[in-house]
Amino acid sequence: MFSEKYKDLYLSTTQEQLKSIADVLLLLERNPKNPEYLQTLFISLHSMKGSAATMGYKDTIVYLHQIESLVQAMINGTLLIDKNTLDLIFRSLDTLHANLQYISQHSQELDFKQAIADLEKILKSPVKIKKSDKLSAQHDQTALVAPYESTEMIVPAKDLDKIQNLLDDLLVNIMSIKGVAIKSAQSQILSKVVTADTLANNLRRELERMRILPLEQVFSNLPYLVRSIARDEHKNVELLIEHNDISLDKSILDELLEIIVQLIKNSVVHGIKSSQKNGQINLHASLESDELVVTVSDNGRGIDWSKVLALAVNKKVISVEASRKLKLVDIPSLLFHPGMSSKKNMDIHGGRGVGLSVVKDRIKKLNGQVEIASTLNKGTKFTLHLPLPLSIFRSIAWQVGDWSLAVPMAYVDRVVKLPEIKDFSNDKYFVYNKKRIKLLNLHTILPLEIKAPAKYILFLNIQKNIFALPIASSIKESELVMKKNPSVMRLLPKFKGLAISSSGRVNLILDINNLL
Amino acid sequence: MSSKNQQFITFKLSDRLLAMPLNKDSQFFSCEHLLALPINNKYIAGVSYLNGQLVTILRTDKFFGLNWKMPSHPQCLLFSYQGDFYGLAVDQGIDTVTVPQVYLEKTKNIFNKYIKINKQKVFILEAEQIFTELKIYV
Repeated sequence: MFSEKYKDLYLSTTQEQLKSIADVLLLLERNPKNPEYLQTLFISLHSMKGSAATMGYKDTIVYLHQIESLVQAMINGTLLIDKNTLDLIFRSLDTLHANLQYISQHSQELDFKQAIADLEKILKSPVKIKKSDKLSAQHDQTALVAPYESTEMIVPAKDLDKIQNLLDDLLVNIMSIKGVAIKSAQSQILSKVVTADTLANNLRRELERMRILPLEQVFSNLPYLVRSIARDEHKNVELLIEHNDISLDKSILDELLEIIVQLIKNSVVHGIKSSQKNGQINLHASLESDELVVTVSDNGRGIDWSKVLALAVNKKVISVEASRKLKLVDIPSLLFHPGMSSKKNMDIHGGRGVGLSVVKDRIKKLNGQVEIASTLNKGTKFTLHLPLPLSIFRSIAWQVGDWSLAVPMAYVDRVVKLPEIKDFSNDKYFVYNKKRIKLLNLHTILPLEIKAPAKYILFLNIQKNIFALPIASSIKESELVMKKNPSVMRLLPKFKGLAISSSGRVNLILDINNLL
Repeated sequence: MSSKNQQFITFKLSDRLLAMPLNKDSQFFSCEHLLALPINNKYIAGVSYLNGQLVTILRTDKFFGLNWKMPSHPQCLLFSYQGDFYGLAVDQGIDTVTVPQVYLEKTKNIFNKYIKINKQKVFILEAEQIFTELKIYV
């Protein structure tokens, strides 16, 4: 039996197949008379059955066969295609999802006996439909048993990570050799190194492209999720998505999806009222300068901030005294504290009180920020600001004590060498070409005891304004390779991340917005 | 006590012989460039770069409250934990050993498992304990 060796491949392939089935079911729900949807459904289920057979999951095969029979009955016209039948198939998908999770954790399938028995009952007493309501039952029998074919291959993200790391190492070494070749003034060697550098960079770009997924693809599961939760909460909710053709690195998308799922769950469970017939959630993503902005908004009941404050006191998140001093703008941050749920029953979708605190942690992991805006009886809007990842970039780098710092060249307007070393400790502005430019200082992000006199001024373009950063040490232009943030960077939220120079040194990349 | 052949990698820190469970990432390396971080955390020495990976270097001596002067290019023992790479700063890497038994020192709360090498107790540093008991990231 192949089970253990090919388990990961089976899980990822079946996950994809379940997603396709969910998409088709949503289409069928809107257009139950379209026979193509049922045919596609049947073929997908048949293909899943084949995969399960390869793995030896006998109960899964039987369960899938039952669902196939259900769909076949709908095609033949012996079973009504209505809300109840479709709900039944949706619930079967939930069971199959649960099965995948179980297999992932325990390397064996779920006990399907009850689920199989329930489907048997339905199949033994189908509801016949009128002739006029029948679908055009002509379908190509060959098509129904056509095998699932794919020219695609599923590669685990961690394998791509490994290749990325090896490639980064190669690039750092090539950068180092380039430096040596330039110094040696050997044009032939330099020419070959430049070619190698170009090839390695092209390889990196192709690898990055493989890791990039369109938001559309990732968001496409969400209507099904909203439908599931709304059904369980007995609410009417529609999800509208605007993705603006944005694509992102898979690692960021994975984190982002978890955040969005939690916010959407919140909207359905806490936002939209049961009495609302027009429940709507809007998911919008856009790119603004160097950040991704995602909003999740609903037209529900809105948030009563006075109740949030009272709950925070009741749950001992803050003291009564502290609550009296709290400004209105600071109340929304209380929502992100663990244990702040107002739902009395801790059900599967909401009410555990940890959802928004998980959101906050995930956003922090991505070096992002979240804002909440809400109006009573009109709705609530969560806005996420997530910085876009850097890759390989040119930078200005310098040393401050033990710390190697760098700023991406994209933010550098110019560098000015001062005619003489100057102490800017007591100055708020730097005058350059008769213009007053606001001075920044690194004390906002670094525990510096002394402000050293500056040799250079770095002019930084931050949010379309120019600021001046005095630099005490020598500076150099450096090509850096950005790396994925290790967990330790959680302790340094004011920095963008870490990048490697051609000499293999690690540099702290400033998040210049935090200098303001 | 657990009785099953297990492999460990041993190293010296100050005068102590210590061990860590052997895994696929275990290797000793010399930390050539260490980036200090602007944080107030006694356990974290900084970040280094090795074979395409960022490695967070940990002050192993602080786990035990030892009086140890870390060199500027310390020897480190590489291990991975929850997707990140870490290097334990050590004096000297020793060897890999296979032992039939792991013992428990009941008088200790943390790093209380040990193996016997030439009748000497060699205490084990487990990654899980380092991060959950010491709360490195708090």
